[in-house]
Amino acid sequence: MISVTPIKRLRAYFWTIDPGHFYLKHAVKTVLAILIALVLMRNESTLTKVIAGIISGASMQGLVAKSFSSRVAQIIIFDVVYFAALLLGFVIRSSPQWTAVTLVILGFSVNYVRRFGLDNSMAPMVAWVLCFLVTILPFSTTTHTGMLIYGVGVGFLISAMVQLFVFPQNDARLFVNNSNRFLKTLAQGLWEMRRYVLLASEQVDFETLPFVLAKRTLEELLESNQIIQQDKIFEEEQKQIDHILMQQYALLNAYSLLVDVYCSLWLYKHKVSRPSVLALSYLSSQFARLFATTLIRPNYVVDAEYSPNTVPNLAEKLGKISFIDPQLIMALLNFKLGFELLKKHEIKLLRGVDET
Amino acid sequence: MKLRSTTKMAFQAAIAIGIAELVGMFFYVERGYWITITAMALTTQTWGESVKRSFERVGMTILGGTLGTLLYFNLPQHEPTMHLFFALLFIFFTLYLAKIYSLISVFFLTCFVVFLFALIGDWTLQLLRARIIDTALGAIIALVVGFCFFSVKISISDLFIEYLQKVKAMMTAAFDKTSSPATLITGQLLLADFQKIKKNSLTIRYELLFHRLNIRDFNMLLNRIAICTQLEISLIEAYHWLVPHLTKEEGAIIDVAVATTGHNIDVIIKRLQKNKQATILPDTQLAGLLKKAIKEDPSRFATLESDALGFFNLIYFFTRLNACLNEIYRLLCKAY
Repeated sequence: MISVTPIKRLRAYFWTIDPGHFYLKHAVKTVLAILIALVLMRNESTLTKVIAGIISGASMQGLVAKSFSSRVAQIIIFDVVYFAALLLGFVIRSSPQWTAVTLVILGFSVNYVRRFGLDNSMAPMVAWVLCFLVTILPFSTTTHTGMLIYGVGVGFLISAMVQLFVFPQNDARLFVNNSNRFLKTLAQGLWEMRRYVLLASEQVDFETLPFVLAKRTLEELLESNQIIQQDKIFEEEQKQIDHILMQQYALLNAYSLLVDVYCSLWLYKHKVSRPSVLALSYLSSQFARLFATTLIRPNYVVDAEYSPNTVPNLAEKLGKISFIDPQLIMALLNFKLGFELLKKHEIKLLRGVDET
Repeated sequence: MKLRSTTKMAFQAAIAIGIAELVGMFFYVERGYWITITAMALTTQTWGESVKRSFERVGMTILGGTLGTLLYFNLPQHEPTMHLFFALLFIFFTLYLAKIYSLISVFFLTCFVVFLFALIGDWTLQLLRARIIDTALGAIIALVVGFCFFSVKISISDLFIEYLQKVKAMMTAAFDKTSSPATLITGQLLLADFQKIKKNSLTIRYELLFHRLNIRDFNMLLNRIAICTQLEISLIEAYHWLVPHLTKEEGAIIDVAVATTGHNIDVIIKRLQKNKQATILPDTQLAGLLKKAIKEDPSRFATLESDALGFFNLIYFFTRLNACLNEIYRLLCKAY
């Protein structure tokens, strides 16, 4: 049985809400960029420090490009746009009327440009906010311009360096990590299923059982992988990625089928015979062990310590059944189908896209 | 000329900012710039999303602003390092939780604003009051503009009609004996489509505030459609696994089940289109079918071999799928 310590549970929780720790890394990078800017500007005036900090933090937002060269290009373009927005703010800040007109036109423009692949990017909003901020910050344009431009420049430079070189995004590694976590979660779910088959307790709310909750984790991991696959950043490996993702969906479906059957047994409080319980328990443990030892390598080759063909099917394990309750027979049929689908797709996963 | 949603959003943002600036100018609102930035931030792609964000923003401004102010007043006043520490801490949680728990993220953002002002100058109760009032004004402006100008509302009927059409198309393609099976790919796409609807469901729920389909029924509808999706994908996958074991008679019964399910999906689509003429067919009684089969030949069920029993697996899925479709139909009859 796989045991889970509280620390591992906490890590699993954070992984579940943020697979790949995207948002965690982004938050850390932003705070780091702000801190570096403040340290570099420590001998300057408060206003320069604030501007450098705001610029370094704000220009960390909005990057959507994936490959290194496209990220460099996007950083340069965004920083030019942000700088232009800041300059515009400097120019209009002394006139409330021009400020209002400019903010209206800029507000229209930054939302209009979302049609060019920036639907989910913060960059347009950041450009508007920077222009807006400059119009409300308390400083004198004539005396502080030089220092402010210095702070702005440092802020842009620091954010560019942090975005490119600190926790650089690696979707390929994330896909592999997500996929291996998917298999481990599947294994854990099957272990838990086995535990509840044997215990057969009726006191707990079915929806709170660990193997039911595992389904949500599997869905979230697949969603993260789906986003990576849709970005089409892989060239030669795209076919392998597509194949692995397809099999993962199929494994999730098979697992969902098993959970569904348990639910119907739970709801109808059927008494499953002892031989059937033992057979289900055995198969769950065999599949759990299989998935726990299946590994997707960085080159997308899938290995397992056991062959799926060593796992018998439910009919073989059960032998002849003596009961004739239609609900129970249907449940066992569906368990059998679920296990067979798990085996089928594990075999396909191991064989790979070329079926070798 | 049909405008894209991004163009509509651009017009809405421009109008909202314009109104906010006019309000700030003509009513001499203290710190009127908060009205402007709130109106801009709360202009979103759909009206439902605007409603959701407005509630979040105003609520969390009150809560975050109040707690942030209390914290600030309880800290040593001339300790910029401590203020900076808290500002960075709040910025960290704002960004970390923005996509995961947006409500809590807005709370931390408001706390951050308190400490940002503390670093630049000072933070007072007057500023807190001004912030709350101006945020509420900005939210009202964004909502009114979102409702009155180029309003983008999700048509719930169209959303479900489109989705059910895909469900039916997938089933038809999978059971078409002349076509090659590409079911896993389409199953995956169907699931991905449904996940998108589920993700937007919170926004849709806000749009239902004035809709005949209430939130409770919408949640049940979403839940039933999730079950239908799962059942259909399982059914199609099972079919391709079990079809070599079906006899001719069983194949004919499956064809009838496919036609029945397709008819029921069409009836639901017509109901969503407010065409009440067609009637849904009830789910078949599997238990009766299975009991009869067990009674006639019990030895057939003694072992769980696919060539004897794969047919019952499929009928089980069809029965459950049609039961689910019947529940969906009953829900829609209440609303449409």
